[in-house]
Amino acid sequence: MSAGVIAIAANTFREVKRDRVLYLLVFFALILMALGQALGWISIEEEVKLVTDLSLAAISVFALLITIFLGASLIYKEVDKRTLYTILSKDVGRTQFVLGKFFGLLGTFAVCILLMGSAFAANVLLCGGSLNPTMAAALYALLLELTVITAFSIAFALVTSPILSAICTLAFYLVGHSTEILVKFTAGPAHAGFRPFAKALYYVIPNLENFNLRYEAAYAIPVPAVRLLLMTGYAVVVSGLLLAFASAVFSRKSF
Amino acid sequence: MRRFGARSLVLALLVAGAGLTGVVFFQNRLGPMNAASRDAAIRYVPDREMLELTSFGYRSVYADLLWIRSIQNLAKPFDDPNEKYEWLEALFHGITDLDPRFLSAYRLGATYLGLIKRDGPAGISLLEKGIEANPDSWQLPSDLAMLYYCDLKDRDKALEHLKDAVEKPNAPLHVRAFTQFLMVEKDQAWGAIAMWLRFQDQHRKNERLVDVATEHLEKIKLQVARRGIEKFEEEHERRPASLEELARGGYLPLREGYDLLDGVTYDPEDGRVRSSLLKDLQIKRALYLLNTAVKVYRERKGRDPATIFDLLDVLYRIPRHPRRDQGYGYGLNPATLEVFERKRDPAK
Repeated sequence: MSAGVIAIAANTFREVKRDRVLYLLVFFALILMALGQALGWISIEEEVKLVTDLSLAAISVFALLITIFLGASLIYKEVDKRTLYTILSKDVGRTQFVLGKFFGLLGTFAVCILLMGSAFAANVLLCGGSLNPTMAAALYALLLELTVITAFSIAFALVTSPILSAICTLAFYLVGHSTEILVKFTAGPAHAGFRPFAKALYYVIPNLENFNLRYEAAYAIPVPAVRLLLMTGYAVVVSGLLLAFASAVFSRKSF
Repeated sequence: MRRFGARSLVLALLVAGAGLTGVVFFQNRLGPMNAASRDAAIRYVPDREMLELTSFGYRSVYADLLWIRSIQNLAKPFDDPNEKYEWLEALFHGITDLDPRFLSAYRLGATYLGLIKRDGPAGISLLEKGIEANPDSWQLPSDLAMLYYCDLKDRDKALEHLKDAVEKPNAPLHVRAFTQFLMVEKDQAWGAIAMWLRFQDQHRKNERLVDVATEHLEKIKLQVARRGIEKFEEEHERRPASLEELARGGYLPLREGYDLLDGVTYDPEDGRVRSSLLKDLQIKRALYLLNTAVKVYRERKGRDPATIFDLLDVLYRIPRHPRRDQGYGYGLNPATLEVFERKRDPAK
């Protein structure tokens, strides 16, 4: 990684750290996890499962919201405040700029997940549960999912407005988690006409269910290292493609 | 800033008061209408495809929320009980479609459908779905057996599923004991004996588990002998004179290699069979339990128990001594904090 990318990533990390939205969302995630504890008390026999499920879901949802809010506006802010011109006038390429922003955001997410993950672990222990390696794997998988979503968010923010990019990122998230189910449902003869479309969606739209290990974490189902490796490879390839697209668009953009 | 006069203030308060009254008026009327229509709307449970499609990767959380919704409504009165049963059944299926490992939903759902709705087949169908998705669970076949036993009075089916349950990992002793009881009742005493001998062999390094198995083997002998005596009485209208007479008449399923009468004594006067080994093992188990309770009591209370009855703070009850008719009981030595077997002074 070049010095320019590292410098921009470090700067992005510092900049995002100052954003109140980040703290607000992390705070709400922690509140939701505490609420999960209360829901656990009213459930019969399934307290630990409920707390695990709700805590992981809270981390996932709020991490997504952070990605949407920060990812969509990050580059737009630089253009709007005209700080982009200063940066680009120095010895920093446009691709380096996009990569720097991406890695800076990713660093922030890693810290957020670490923070929320610690709260999650405390939550599970507090309700009498025990931690298992799959829980750590689920958090790692979430970080990989955020990698893909961030890359998508940055790429779309460059071709559309921040608001539209935020909406598209949310839609991308929902569709990304549904393609697998769509393929499953169109397997029968009743939906044969829809099957090719579902198959096309399945391959074209990144399958975010590949990064979903929340169910496995709730039941402590071991995840083989191969699956984690494949997951990592998938995230690298998909986000690489999206960032290449983002970089190409950004390189041709005139300000 | 211009100051408001007293008239304006009164007017403002009147307007605010009237507005607030209006808000309360409308709210009080609209609230119950909302609740009535929403309750009905919330009772809708989408089918499996729709549930999966709308979960967006949060299937387990979706199942949890439906679970909370179902347990909140178990005891809630509905205008039409049948509507409630159908809705809850759909909920239990929805939960288990989303999360096929949700054992509590199968178990509670089947118990509810079988015992409250009085729809045994619905409960059975839910448990069979669970067994298919959780082949390693002992709980589901055991619950299925109980449903057949209690609700449908089908002991053969109950036994079939109990036999399945005891083969699963971590099947507890009470499931094994119930299986044994039904096996002897269904003239499968040798199957029950084989089950406990196998258990004994698997746990031969654990003295307590070996004792538990021996205790159950003794119980089988007594149960077999009691059944033989009952049959003998029915046919001869008198009690057998001895166990040998019972054996000679073919009322006991004797086999070579394992003595079904070993250690069993029979009193033709009262027609009862007894096993001295069983009583000894029960005493040994009770002493172990009581001595463990002393440790738990000291840990929890931070002081020593003064009498054996203090242990009731950590135990549901003090086990009864199998020879209490001969004046035996348990006592606690306050000096050594050991529970021992003692014979009561008949004078006291």
